[in-house]
Amino acid sequence: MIKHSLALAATLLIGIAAHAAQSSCVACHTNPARIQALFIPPSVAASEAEG
Amino acid sequence: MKKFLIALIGLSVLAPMAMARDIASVVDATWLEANLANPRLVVVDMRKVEDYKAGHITGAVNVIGASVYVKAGDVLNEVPQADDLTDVLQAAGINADSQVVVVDTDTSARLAWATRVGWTLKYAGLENVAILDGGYAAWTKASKPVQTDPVAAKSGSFVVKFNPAFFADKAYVMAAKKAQIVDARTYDTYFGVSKSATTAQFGHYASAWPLPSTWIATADGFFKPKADLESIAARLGLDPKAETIVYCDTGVAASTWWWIMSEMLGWKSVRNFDGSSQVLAADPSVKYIAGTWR
Amino acid sequence: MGYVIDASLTESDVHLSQGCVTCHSGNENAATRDLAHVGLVKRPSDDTDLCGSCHGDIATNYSKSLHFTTVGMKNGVRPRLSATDIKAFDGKVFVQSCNSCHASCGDCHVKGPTVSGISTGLIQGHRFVRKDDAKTCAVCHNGRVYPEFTGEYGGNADVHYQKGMTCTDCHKPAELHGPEASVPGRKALAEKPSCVGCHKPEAAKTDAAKTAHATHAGKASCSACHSSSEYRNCYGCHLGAGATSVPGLILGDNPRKAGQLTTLRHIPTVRDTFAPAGIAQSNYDSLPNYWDAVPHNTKKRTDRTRDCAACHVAQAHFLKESDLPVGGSKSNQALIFKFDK
Repeated sequence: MIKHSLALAATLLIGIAAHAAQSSCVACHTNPARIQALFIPPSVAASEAEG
Repeated sequence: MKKFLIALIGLSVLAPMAMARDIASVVDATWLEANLANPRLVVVDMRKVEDYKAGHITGAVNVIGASVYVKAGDVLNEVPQADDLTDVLQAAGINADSQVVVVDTDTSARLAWATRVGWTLKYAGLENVAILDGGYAAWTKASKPVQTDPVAAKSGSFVVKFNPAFFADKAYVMAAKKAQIVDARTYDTYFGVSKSATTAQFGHYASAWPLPSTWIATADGFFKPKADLESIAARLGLDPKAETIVYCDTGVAASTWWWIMSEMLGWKSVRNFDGSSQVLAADPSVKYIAGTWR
Repeated sequence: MGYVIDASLTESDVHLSQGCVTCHSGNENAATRDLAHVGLVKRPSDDTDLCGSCHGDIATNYSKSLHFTTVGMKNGVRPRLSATDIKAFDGKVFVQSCNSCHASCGDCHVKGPTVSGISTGLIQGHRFVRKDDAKTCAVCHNGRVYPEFTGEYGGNADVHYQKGMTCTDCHKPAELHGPEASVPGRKALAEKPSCVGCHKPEAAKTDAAKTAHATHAGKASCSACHSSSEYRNCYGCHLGAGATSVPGLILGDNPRKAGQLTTLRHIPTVRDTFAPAGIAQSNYDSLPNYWDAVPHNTKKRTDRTRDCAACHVAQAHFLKESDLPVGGSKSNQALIFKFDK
């Protein structure tokens, strides 16, 4: 019984700690290299500058 | 009588000196930073409003390029009317004795637009006009001071008085039998391999020499040294003392060589053909020539 | 760039302090992108109540506003439609076409709106910005209005742009967020810019201008004389196939204010525009093919202000019989301006 309570408490603590740590959203979305690797830019035609 | 003669001679010596520019035709970021506090200096940022607001040289006013080259009827990139241009320049705080530095994004892709504004200001009668070598890109690359607050200048007093010596229109070009005519467009366009949508004919004006505007800037986007530019023009056999008319498609690219020849190299008589091929090639009686070099 | 957020905002911005999933759902503990994005809400502010939980009044008004509902477009074409057509229009055309342009709170305050699959991305790393005209207004209104305003379309840049003004310098939050009571279209808004709001006609600098203003009061709109150059006119819009555009400066009788000369802009709806959706527009002729426009290319001096003869003799830019589109609305005739005898 005590073992179960301890396990439950440990899970809860780990859960809270995980939430308090950076979410996976922020981990990826603050990393330009990561986002760039996943992003396929649309092709835009180059334009002439001769006047 | 003697006094009068002395005065006359004195004036004829002094007057051209008073007219002469007291700022180089091309200035670099170091010079500009050192001279920002000069009360006669006006830094004109010709980029779009959004770009200016995102950051500009400290103290620079925004005069968008589109207020200095305008569409007139069907013709692109024309000089505005004197009263309109006067409004624009006075709002920028420009006076007759101002030292105006023209700043565009860079002097590589944007070189021709910067010299077009420079030429327009000289044509409008301003004496001291310079172009910032490397443009805003060079300024920020050198980590020079910038600000985001818009600068509202105190109204200037300059009144536009066009200097016809810098200008050529279609009639002038067709009547100018002795002038050396320079085509500032690319080799492909000069030769007739390709052409701008606004020019009706392939090729070049019959007597024109090819001198692409793209030869003026280095790969890094700065003006080549004066000696290099001098020798490029000399290689073509152009005479600095003869009358020169530069043209292109709408008078923008042409302004690059106008700037070099007139303002940097001090050639005596250089004209920019406003309207250029858009106007000239539209005339079916004017035969552009394709497939040959001059 | 793209979807990269400014890391410092997670500490400093009240909006982000609640965690991403509060607004975006998804799974913040997932190890892979696909798992993280299960149930992802890409545009949380499509539900205005979300922002409304703190910005109550604005959100309530905005949920009824023209940018959010885009009903102005529906009401604009409505007079041409029979009762059955209206139902078909609402179901098959409005939502898919017109309303696809609707703007949520986030489209102006967080991430630039997407047009044809392209957006400028997060305006400032997911900061909640008060305004950024170039990345928001200018994106949707980039067919007409903005390119004319900046001169990019090829005419003369508007003098206000030359003076460093952009959209929100004249179009204020009250107009954009909308009034408490919804309106059928933008012309019905009480809060909207007007030239005379800043420029009193009697305060013109020259006597000639003062006289011209006094003489034309009520007879010509400001833009009739002060629109500087050609603006974009679209023709022949077909559902699924788009329209073509042609530059033009068109002066005619104001369809919404008879007797006033003004700038007209051609509207591309043709008789069979909605035919693929089975909509016939049985009352097509009840509306003309041009609306009164205020092209954003204002200039103090134009060919019309420099020379009275431009209008009074040459009738330069005036809409003529021969300009009217073939097969166009029968209401177009009334737009050809007639001087008082």
